[in-house]
Amino acid sequence: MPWLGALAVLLGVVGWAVLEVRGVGQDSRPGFLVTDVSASPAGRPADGRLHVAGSGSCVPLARMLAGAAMGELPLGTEVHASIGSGGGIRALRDGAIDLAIVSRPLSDAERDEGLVYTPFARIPVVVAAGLDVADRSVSTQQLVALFDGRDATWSDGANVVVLLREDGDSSHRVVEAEVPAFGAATEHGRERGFRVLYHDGAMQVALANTPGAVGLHGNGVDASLAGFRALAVEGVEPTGSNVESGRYPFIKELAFVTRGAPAGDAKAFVDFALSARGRALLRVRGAVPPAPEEVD
Amino acid sequence: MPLREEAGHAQLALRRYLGARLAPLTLLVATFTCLSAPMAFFLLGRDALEVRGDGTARQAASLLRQDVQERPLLWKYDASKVVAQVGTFELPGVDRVVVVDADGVPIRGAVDDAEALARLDALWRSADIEVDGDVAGTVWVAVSTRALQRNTIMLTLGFGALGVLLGGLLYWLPMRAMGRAEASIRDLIGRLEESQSALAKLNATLEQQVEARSAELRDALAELQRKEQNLREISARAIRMQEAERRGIARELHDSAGQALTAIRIHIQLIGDLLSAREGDDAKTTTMARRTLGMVDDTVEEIRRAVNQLGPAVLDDVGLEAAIHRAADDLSEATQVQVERHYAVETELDASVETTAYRIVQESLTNVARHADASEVTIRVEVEDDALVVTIDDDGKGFDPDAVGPRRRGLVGMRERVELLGGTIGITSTPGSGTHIRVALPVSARG
Repeated sequence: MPWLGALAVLLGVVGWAVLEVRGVGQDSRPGFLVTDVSASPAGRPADGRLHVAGSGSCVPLARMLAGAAMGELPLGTEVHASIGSGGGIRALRDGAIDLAIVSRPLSDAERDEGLVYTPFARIPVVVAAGLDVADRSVSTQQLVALFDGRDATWSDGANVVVLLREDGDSSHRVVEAEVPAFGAATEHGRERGFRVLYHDGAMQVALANTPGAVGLHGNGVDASLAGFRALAVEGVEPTGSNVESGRYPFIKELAFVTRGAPAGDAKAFVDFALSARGRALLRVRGAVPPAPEEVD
Repeated sequence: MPLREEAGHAQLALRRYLGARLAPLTLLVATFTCLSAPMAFFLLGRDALEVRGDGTARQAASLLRQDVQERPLLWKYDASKVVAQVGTFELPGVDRVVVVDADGVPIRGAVDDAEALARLDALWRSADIEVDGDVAGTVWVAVSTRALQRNTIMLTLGFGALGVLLGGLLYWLPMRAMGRAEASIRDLIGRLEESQSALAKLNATLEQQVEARSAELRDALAELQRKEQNLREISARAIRMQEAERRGIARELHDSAGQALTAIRIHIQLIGDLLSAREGDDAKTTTMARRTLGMVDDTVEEIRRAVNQLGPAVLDDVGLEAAIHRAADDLSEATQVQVERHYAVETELDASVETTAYRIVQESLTNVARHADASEVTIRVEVEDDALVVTIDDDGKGFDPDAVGPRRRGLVGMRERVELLGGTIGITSTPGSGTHIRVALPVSARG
């Protein structure tokens, strides 16, 4: 019965054909794995304007400074939406922007490649809670317990909803620097499935709309605090004076980053920010500009 | 036919025959069992991975679409956050999420080790990031196929073992049954061959046995024939001696007693005549003489008959043909029966044969006279093929040859006489249809 053998062969052929038709074995891998491609810069628009981008913590102040500068400097400035401190540095490195704004210090590697870090303000990292939260102040231990999940209720018995930022967020780094246990607590919180937000804007929306929410807000104490409130830490309010005096523990430094020493329109914008006019504007927005001697 | 040539002989090869036909079927079943379920599992699993990858890519693309709208130029510098966000979905099997721009170039930092990615056993699925109809980039999601491959291999091994088991059973069970059947058939064939061998051996010796037995039979037959011949000769000799003795007695009766009685009769008749001639003589004495004369006549007649019965002296006197005619005449004279005779014998006959033939005719005519109530009798005496054939036919009332009676005793005597000479006798008769007697006597029977 040779036809049975032929049938077995046919079965194998049909199986192979099915797999072929179904695309099994076909190389559907993306092109960047097949051919050698290199990252290309985003390309800077040739519109004659100063393009600024970076940390979302800096964006409100940068936009405020840009708006003020428009009337005093002969330059147009566009502050892009947040792309993060790292994104700002990468965009600067690619030449996609003229000035990066960051809320974390440069790494050694970044300094070694010639990037120049110019602080222009300090702001508090706010422990923010929803308006429905009865508590007005937290201790650092309570803060750790909240983000660890061990303390799941507010003083009025309401449930606590912890909102986290992604790993590496500058606000978390600031708190971790002051409260080492906070890093493990947030890690534990992530493992427990606490919600993670990836932008300052998303965090603001979540804080305003989530009952019992608590999270870190890295934009300082400004008008954007609508919808939630800042809690005192160890009884100290996150105000500019407490930042300047150093009483408030969680302070984030904001800075400009340039490739090499600031020059051109970028230098003009940096100089404006660090000018008396600029520092005054920053103070109005709750930020603490560096002392004149620090700038000099 | 399930036969194979071996050493010039056709050998039964049922298992080989069945095995040759079962092997492809077994292979088919094993292959089908081994491949069908794992293949289906793999295809369905691949579909599931594709769906998972497509869903993840679309979700990531949707998240990035908002970023692109907010930052048309700089979105890709922040896309790593979206990738990280997608990574937190904890989708099983999703190994990597890579975002590329419209030129297919990965965003910076998305691909840290392209070679490692290239080596990844993964299924790559993608979704475009479309904003206002333009493709700003693409999200590629690598869904690991390691678990699917591992499970498929495990399933293939399991179903392969099952296929081998099923195929083995499918092959082994019929082969075992066929092996047993073949052994039985071989055993039967062996027995048949042994029987054929024994039969052939028997056939080979049978002729010798038959020949030996035939020789024995021939010897026995010859011995029997010799003894029979001796017996015949003895019988014939005895008959001749008996007949000679009877004839001697008859002749003695005829010659002495008969002559004496004849003389006595003559004297008595003379006495009677003398007495009759003497007038006044005693009539009573005359009557007595005459009565005595009658008694002598009766005695003479009785002696004649006895002589005739004891020994057909007539044969010695006139021969067989005349003796038969005389017996026929005696019958016609005594019973008014018409007797037709045909005698055609030229050969010189032995005395025993003549005597027996005459006795047969004599006994037959006696039976006709006594029992047949016939009106016509035909006697034939002739020689046919070295045998004297005597036939007597009558148109009498016939009889049942098997019936017991006086006639039967006479017939038995006839048969004994014939068989003593090695002859044959046939008696055919049915009541109302007459009687036919045929006797054949070998003419060579000599004493």
